[in-house]
Amino acid sequence: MVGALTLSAGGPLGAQTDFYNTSPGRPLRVEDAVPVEYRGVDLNVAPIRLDFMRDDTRFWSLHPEATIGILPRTQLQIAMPIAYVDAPTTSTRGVAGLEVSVLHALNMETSIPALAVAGDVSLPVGPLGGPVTYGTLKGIMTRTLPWARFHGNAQFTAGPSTSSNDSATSAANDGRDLSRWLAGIAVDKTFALHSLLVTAESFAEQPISSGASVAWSAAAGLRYQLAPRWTMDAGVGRRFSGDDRAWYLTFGSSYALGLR
Amino acid sequence: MMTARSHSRVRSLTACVSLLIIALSTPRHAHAQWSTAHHQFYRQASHNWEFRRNYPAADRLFNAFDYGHAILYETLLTEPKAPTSRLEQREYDFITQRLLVRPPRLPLEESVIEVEYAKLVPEAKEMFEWAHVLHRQVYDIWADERLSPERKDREVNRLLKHYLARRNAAFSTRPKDMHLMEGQPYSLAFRRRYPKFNGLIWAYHWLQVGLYEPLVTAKSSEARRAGVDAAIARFRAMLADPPRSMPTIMPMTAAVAPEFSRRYPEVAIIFDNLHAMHDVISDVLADSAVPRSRKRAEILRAVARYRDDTSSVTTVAEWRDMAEEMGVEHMGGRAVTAEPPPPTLWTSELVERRLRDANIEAHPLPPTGRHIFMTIPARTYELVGGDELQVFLYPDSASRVSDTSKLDRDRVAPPNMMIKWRAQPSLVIDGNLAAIIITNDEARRQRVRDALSPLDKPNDR
Repeated sequence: MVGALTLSAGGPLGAQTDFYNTSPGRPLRVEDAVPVEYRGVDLNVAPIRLDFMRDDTRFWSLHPEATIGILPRTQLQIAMPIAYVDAPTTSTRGVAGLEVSVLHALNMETSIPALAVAGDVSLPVGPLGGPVTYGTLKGIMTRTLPWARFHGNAQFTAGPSTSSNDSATSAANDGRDLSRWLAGIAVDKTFALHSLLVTAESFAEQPISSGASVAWSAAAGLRYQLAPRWTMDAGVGRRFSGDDRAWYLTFGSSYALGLR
Repeated sequence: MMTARSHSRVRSLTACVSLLIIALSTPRHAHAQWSTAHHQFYRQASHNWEFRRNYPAADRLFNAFDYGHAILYETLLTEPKAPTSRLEQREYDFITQRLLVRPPRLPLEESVIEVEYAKLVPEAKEMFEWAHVLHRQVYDIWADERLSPERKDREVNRLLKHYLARRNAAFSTRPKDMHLMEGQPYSLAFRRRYPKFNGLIWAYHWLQVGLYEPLVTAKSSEARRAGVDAAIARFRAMLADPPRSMPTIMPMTAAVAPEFSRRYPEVAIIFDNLHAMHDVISDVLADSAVPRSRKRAEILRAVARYRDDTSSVTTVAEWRDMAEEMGVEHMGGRAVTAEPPPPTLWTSELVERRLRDANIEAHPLPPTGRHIFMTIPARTYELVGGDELQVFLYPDSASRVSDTSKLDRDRVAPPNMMIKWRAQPSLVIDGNLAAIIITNDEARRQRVRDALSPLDKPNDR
């Protein structure tokens, strides 16, 4: 098991303004450096992602997760992705690993950007969870300006490379959303009076499969506060290069509550 | 499908933005501060969001208040040389003519509005947020009709304990003297330059504490609702003729909401310290004698004084006396009590005074018999030109309604009965009063009608 650390910048987060706090996949890959509030719980009930691959393969992923503010500026996240790979001739589905991560914001943004570190462990659980444990170390930075907010993410994953010739293993690893490394940036604009955040990102990643080429992706999305406890998000993106070029869509909602 | 040239563009753009982030992330001030302030989720309880559920209009107003505080600090910090009209006119008009008219449906992410201020003193911002959570949760407790008053007291005490557990974010429960707010080199800088916006902030603070009084003193949910509505109406009246109609001194909880302050003195003191701290930060930001490089230090110094239990402390008795001596009428007035005042009843003296005040000659006539369609006899007055005014004074509104609801208002007669009037009759009803004006002089009819309605003019009681 490998621990992963993330460095990120922390900004203010209100209990009723969760729309302002992005997290990986909700809706974009690049996240901000703001953890869930201390004693807060964020339940991502049924976030869905759909990838339209080149060879008429559809990749569905359901990514339920719970994030808990276990300490000041520190969150624990547990997720169990469920994947369904619908290829022209075959299909497979099942749990695609168990992810446990810890994010710790080092500071709150001042004239110094908000910085955070995160560690993530992907355990080989379920039929699409693969045979190996991976660990990821991640650094996050957020800078807020009056007109926009910028985020930078960089991460490295330790663990064996997989063979891209093995379709089952490849599907499993796709299910776990693994990259050898990933670096990206995002920008978001908040419409405070409407509780709406619009965001866009671009990132590069080296797939965990051996011999795969670097993939560039770009995406855009939004987060919207429906009610004090409910937030919804949606995004659309495109993997422009690499071996698995695809369009993808994400949609999800989260429910905020607190520890008693 | 993307071309190689497109890939190159995406990569170049990403690289450029990355460099931009790095450039923007470089601290511009050598005294860059490392802050480890943090947010904490509100206390979980069955009464969460009850205030929003039961008093949505008031709840939404508070969302709008968030904007006012935030834009004030951001403007003072980032546009110190802006003309006073930037706040006194542009922002004030936006807030009062748009935001308070249609308040946001959800609490605002203030750090989006006060970006630079939030980065200047996140510690102070967190103290405000934590105190605002206390504010809202006390409303929740008292808005929850399922809880008994004793249970509400226990919940408030639990909440207070929860609030005070964050020593770095909680205001002191010890009252502070006015020197802390008004005796500093920067004191009064804001209110002198921006009297209207300052009055708006004080009107906010009046409502924030004034709402507690009807919530705490009312004996029924209907009375609580009426009290909250009345408090909101009072708040809106404060904006009618600014700054004359606004509070001229900081509303103090002990004066505005005395029963609430008696019941929860520590909570009331926290709110006064919170509101005083709001004013202090406005002064620090507005005072050009405090350079930008010193504003964070000055604010943190003031924050520490309002957080500790030793700086400029006064006694609870002195705090109450101070609130009373300063004059609650200058603070926007005592919050309305929840029980509505007894309705004013019309009397013959009041009718005659109204007629006199309107310069209408009316001479009482001897009693005559009772109308067949009214249950009480009329008191009749002779008007100029032989016209007549018949006044029926009932013990209450319900009795009056019982009689007048059976009448055809146009003919002033029961629908199935023909009454021969000596001139054109018209009916005036208000509360426990019914009056029949019998005249063909339309101007006179209107004057009498105006004199007899509505009730509750000044001096009626």
